[in-house]
Amino acid sequence: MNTFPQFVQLPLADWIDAGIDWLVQVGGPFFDWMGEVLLKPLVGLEQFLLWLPWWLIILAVAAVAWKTSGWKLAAGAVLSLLFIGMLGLWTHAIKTLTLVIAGTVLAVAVAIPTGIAMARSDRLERIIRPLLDLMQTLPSFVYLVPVIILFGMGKVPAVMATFIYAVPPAIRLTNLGIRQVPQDAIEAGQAFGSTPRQMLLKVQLPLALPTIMAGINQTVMMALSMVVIASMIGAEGLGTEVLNGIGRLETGRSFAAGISIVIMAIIIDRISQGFARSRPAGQG
Amino acid sequence: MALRKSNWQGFAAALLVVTMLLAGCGGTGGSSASSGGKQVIKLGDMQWQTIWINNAIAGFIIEKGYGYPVQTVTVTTPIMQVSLEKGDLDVALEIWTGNMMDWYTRVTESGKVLDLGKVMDRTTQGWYVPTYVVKGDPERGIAPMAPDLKSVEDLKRYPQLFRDPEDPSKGRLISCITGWDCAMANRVKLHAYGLDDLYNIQEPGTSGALDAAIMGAYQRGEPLLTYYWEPTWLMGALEMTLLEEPPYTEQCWALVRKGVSGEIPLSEIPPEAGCAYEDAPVVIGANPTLKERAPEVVAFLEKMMIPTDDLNAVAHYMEENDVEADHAALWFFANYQDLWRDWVPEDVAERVEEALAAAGVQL
Repeated sequence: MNTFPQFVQLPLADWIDAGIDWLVQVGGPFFDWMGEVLLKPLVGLEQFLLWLPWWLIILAVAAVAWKTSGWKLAAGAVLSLLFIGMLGLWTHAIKTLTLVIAGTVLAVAVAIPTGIAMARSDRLERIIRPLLDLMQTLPSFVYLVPVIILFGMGKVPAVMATFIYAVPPAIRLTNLGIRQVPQDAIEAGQAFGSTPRQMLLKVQLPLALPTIMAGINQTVMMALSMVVIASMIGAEGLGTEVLNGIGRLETGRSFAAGISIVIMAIIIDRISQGFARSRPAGQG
Repeated sequence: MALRKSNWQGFAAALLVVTMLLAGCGGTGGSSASSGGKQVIKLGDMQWQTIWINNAIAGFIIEKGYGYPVQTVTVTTPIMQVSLEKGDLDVALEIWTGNMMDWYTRVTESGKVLDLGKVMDRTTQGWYVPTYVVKGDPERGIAPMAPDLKSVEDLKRYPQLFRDPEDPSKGRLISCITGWDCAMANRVKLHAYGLDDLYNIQEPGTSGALDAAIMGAYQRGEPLLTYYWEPTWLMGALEMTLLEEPPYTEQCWALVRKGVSGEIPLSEIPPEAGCAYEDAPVVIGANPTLKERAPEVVAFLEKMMIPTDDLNAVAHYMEENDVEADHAALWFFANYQDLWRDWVPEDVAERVEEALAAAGVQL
């Protein structure tokens, strides 16, 4: 009585399999091209960051930290980055950083226009919201296996997975931030005869900036949390060390890599929060 | 008014929490269900095709022949290792000793896990290329890309054919899963064969990613150099050619083991360390408590062994007919009677026959 009737069976799984097979047959060369286009900047960025001397990177991070949040964060950042280096995980950390930067830049580039469009149109918001829910909750490997079939393993599916998982908070909070701009500010802008463009650039975006920054901050956090999955599909980095530790029952090894991921997350979080605080709403 | 409302909500919340706690504490008592005094036997499911088949076959015999309820528990390989030692799992039907030599040696020597013998007779591991790379495939319009590629020596001439998209100056060998012994072994062999300047290694973190990458390249007719192993459904489904390597010898493999453990650094690996993988046994492992409470099941498991060719046939049947392992197991029972009847005493065989008849299988 409590089992679902058998005669009502939807072969959805078969349809999806057929769809993916068709995509591979038909779209082969296109996906190869797309993969190359995405890969070149990724490889370039990674090689550049690996070429930079380690002390230069640490100094650069310290400088940014000082500028946005003061000397305490700068000191903390230097010490914790040296710590990562002393664990022997510097190269891994840089490779992970490449992935996080690429995923975040892509996410922000997509999130801000999408969030703005969503803020303007209730209808668009209704359509996009379930898509965002899907991107955040569909288990990554469900879409990663087809992606790997189409693009092969490596940085490309890794950045895609990172992007899909990390972009929703930025979109949601951009949408929210703009919608929450106080009505009197909008009216003041209108009273001064602003065009929609000026309204956006000079009133809405500046006032929504703290919320948008919170969204970007969350995006970076989620990008870092995808690091292990990224390594599972061929993107080297701290995630590879975590996997090695898990696979060989060397818990300490996973822990060391995990702590390094946490350190990177905290540094990026504090810097981006400092950046948001230093741009108070209402200016410009 | 507001105070009473919040009191009521607080009370309802507390009631909910207490109920959940009681349900949690009370539930575990009944879950280790036994039927007629026989406790559940837990088999590890490490999520690959041959173990599904082995679990289905062994599970059917243990349940219908010996009367113990059987539960398969989905685990990753590291979790299987920990659980088997602890006793949270009773049996793991495929322990690929070659991939976890240190753990296997430790637990069997200390008696924490019982080695119940081989579950299949031979396995092959090595470096494969799709057959169409060597022979072409007229049906798909693929011309041979490397007609004289036969052994790993020949790989020296083809790094550009197996070009690494992320580093086009070198070729790419897709290695085995991060954390398995073969991941390090492949690196050692790459150095031993003198290919480390010509090829990069890409290590997938999970066999799902590896299979998807191989499938994708195969469907697109692209050249691919990858580590893989048999028996597996993938090797049954695709036409792949194993590259020849110098034959396995104990001295050679001792050098490989030293490279894997780090005793010899990669840069100092000598060419003598280049040889084929040892055919490390795949064995059944059991927790010692199983011998105490179900010695007859342990006796059966000690006898259970399916020759690799037959296992491949079952895997092939499963793929061809798009059925689950349970169904494939019934086909196995019907078609390999001489094989499985040897594993069990007469009375158990009779009970298994009855269960098969009840399941509609003609013997």
